[in-house]
Amino acid sequence: MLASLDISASGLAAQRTRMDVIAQNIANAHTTRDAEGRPFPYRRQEVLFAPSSGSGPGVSVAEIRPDATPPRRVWDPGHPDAIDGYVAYPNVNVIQEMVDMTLASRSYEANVTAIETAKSMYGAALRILG
Amino acid sequence: MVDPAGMGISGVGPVGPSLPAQAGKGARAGEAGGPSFREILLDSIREVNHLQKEADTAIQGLAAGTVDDVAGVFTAVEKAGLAFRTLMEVRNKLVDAYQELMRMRV
Repeated sequence: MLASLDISASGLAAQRTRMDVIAQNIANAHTTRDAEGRPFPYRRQEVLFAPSSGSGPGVSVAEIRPDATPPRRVWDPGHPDAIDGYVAYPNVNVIQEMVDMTLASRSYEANVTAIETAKSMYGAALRILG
Repeated sequence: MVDPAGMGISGVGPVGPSLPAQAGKGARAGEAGGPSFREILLDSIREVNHLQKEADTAIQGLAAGTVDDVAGVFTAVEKAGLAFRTLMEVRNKLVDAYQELMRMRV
């Protein structure tokens, strides 16, 4: 019975990680250089989930990997990171990130609802004894 | 942990050590061959205590800023609360039974 609490808690942690990655994507939506100052734009990161292995059931973050789509090229010769007049902007689509964020938020709520239901089922079972 | 209505999910297995496994491991054999009721009760009290301690460590970690898994802390607290409520229900039932016996006319 209490296993469902742990499973849902792992779901909550996974969605929080997803939210962290989305926040990082939105924050870096216009980052045109890397940490060393070279003109490599930020690459959108995406989270891959997998069922937990080893430490009981649940979900875990299998991988956080960069999105392979090419960067957006914008004509802006005055920009310090422009190469041949074109600035490479990250392959982050803020609208897509917003949709992902709504998904993460709803999935989080779904897991919270699962926890609440598990709790009330347990409470109902206790009422048999009481 | 006591599973009042046997609602454990079959197939996925329990996450924590379940009561029967612990009782069978640490208990002396009672008259009927299995662990005595006293041992089962003591084991479940130990299990509840363990969950309470886990919740306590989690809260301390959250307050100190070493743990950032808020949901994990809250579920640990909730698990400890449910386990304690179960133990209290069992205890109430026992006390009721005892008082019933004491009221019996001989």
